[in-house]
Amino acid sequence: MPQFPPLLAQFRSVLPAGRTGRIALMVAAAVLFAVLAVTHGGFSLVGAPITAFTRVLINVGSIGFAALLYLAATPWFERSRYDPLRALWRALLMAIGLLMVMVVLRMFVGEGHVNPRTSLSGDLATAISAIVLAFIETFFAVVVLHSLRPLVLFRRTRRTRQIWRAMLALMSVAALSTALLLPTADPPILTTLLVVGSLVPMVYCAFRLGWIVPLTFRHKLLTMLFSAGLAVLLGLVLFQQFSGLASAAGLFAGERVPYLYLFSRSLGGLVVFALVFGFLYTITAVLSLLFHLPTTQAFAQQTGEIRAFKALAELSTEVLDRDQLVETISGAPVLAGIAESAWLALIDPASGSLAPRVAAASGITKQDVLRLVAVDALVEDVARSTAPLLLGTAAADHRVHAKPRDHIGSLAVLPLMAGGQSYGALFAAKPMTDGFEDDDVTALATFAGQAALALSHASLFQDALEKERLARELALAREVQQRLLPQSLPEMDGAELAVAEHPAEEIAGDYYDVVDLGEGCFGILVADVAGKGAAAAFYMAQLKGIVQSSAKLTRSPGAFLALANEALTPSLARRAFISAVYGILDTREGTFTLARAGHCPIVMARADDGPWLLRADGIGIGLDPGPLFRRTLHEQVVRLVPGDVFALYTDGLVETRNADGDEYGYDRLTDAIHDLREHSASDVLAAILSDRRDFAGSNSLADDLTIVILKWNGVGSSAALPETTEPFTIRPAFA
Amino acid sequence: MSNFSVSFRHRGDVCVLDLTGELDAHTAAEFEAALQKCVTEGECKIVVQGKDLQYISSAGLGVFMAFVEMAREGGGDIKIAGLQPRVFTVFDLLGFPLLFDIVETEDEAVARFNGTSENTSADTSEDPA
Repeated sequence: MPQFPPLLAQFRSVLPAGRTGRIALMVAAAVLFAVLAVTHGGFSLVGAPITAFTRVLINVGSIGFAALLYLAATPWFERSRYDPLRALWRALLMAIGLLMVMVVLRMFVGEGHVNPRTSLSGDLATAISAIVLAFIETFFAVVVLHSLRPLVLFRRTRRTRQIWRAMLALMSVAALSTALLLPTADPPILTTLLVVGSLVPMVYCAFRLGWIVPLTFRHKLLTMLFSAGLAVLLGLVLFQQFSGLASAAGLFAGERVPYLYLFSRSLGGLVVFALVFGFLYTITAVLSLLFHLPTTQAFAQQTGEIRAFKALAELSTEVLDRDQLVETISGAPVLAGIAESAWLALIDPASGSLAPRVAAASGITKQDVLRLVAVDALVEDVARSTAPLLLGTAAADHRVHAKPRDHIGSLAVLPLMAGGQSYGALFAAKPMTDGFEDDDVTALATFAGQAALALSHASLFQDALEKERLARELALAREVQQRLLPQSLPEMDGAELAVAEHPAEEIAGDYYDVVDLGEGCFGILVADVAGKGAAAAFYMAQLKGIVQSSAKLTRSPGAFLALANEALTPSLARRAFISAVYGILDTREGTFTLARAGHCPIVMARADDGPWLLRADGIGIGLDPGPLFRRTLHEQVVRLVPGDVFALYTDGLVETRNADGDEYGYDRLTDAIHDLREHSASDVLAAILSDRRDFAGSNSLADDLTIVILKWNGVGSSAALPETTEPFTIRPAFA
Repeated sequence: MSNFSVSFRHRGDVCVLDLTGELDAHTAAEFEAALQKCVTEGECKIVVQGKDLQYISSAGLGVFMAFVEMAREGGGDIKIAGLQPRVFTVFDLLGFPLLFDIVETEDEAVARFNGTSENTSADTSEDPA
């Protein structure tokens, strides 16, 4: 069975792989060709006609030889990195070589002769020409196909690959359909149909030209020249087949037969198809290149950006680490193949020096950079001009001290500017002079712009990270602080409580607590630590500890505050103090005893009297170590009447200011409480909060805000107390 | 942004600080720097003129606390004069009149330095009635 190249290509994985496989294929091709050559030579010399069977055998064998050669060459072509210019150049040289062989053969062998009886070579010279040309032209066809294959399959899909294989298959089948024919006979209708059929994938493949777009202007120009040259040479080779150097004198006067047809009609057909495809492809490539030339500039910029973005996309994940970022930036131009060496000189004001520092270098050592290039002067230059600086002949610039062996023939200096700030410069060097194309510089400049952004982001990111960390810690502090506040309020006979606590920032300086002291007594504390922030939170935590440990020890609010003062003063900073108000509600006696340590006065409203601001004397906690505090502290005892309302609050309430700068103040507060005195504690609280909001004109707080509303509903026992018309009495806390 | 300012004047050996605007947590540092300057230069007789002081927060009050001891140890004091009623209330609620000489006018404050300069301790100058 004949083996079709496309089928073999599909089953390539089952073929012997690796070096041994390649050699086996080559040997098989060589042996096959030797057999074919000997057969052709033998029959030609003997001059005996060959049977149809032998002819078919020879043709199938020839196609098999072409297939083996194609497969044997595949790994060789896939081994090296593909470069269209090199591939086209190679094909071009080979075409020239082929034409030269044709000329040489004609010169030494002369006009070939066809034996009209056998339709084979008429003499030894013709046979040799046929054998040599069959080998070289098949080889050339394989090279052309392999040279164009990567171009056709550029950004290939499964479909593209299938069409390429279909093209090869149709070519082979069309070639085999002539296996029975004499070299000069007209092809049957089947062959014509197959040829037309193989033209469809050929045309499809000929328009696979996507690889052209990303080429630089210079590459496009060169590729166009090479393609045009190859097209001309392929045309010449094809022409020579039928009426020129590669043909022998025909059976009848004037008719010429290609040597290849003498060797094998099928192989001749296959080679012609391959060369026609090559011709077609190079022509479409030339035309396409011609049309793409004008758009190159715009595209170059785009590709430059794409390259730069690609490099930066890779480094965006490393942006966390500035050291890694600078390494990546200096490495990118080298990796992208734009420069042979690159380095990054950064101005880092944080280092305390305004002189640029070579932060990273790629393809060159930092020492060499410092030795060969006056980095400071160049950075200063581009930072001032904010434009890329291109030194086509680097050695000619007084700021570069490089010899040819130092590989700094041309140097590009790109400023790193972001947000109007200069971060330094990116340097890219190539060993040859004038090594940078316009689009290289564009790509580098784009990259440098992105790199500068990445650098500025990196420092912003560090700041943000720091802020984020602080925010997290503040949130945590807030959470801890929140747990220092009562999670629930105790049930009190005859009294109701409502509490609001709104910190202005994460950490509040306000504190309140309600403690069940037993026997119907409850301690209610509202305190304000001077200042806000972390220190305030610590003092607050300390105060909480004192409340927990000491509140139950005394029924005298003054005594408790004095205790708190003495416990806290030693640990409070000199400028820190706490204002507090502590009231003890005795639900059995119907009294509310208050002591005030430098805190805002308590508002008290009564059904048919008041309102009052209760402000017994007392200085803030932390202002005096003890004696003065105790001496000045007074307690105020209120004999409760049902309906009495008290408001304990921090200065955040009365010092709330509106847009005009006016304060909410004590008058407005006392009036409001007085007006609301018949409502429940929670209604009073809600009304005060909304009144404050209305006054301020916004929800935002300049200071922490804490409000505790106490409403006494219990049966007043004031009748049982000593006869007095005063609603409250004031007495020294420490008599 | 800051609508607070502090300026220095001298009346004899008394240093007068004129406070203008709002003394809060943000502007306290400025006042603190001024007091620090007085104390480090050995000018411990300080009168704070507060007639143009519109507002004081607890952080502002804290600055007085931070320096009064230093001033007294240096043989001087911090006296406060001319406070507006609303600002005085803040000083008063916290009990500052028991700790500081707070007087109506600057002249009176300066006079107290010159007259009874040895007797300015808060403990003795005020009677907690």
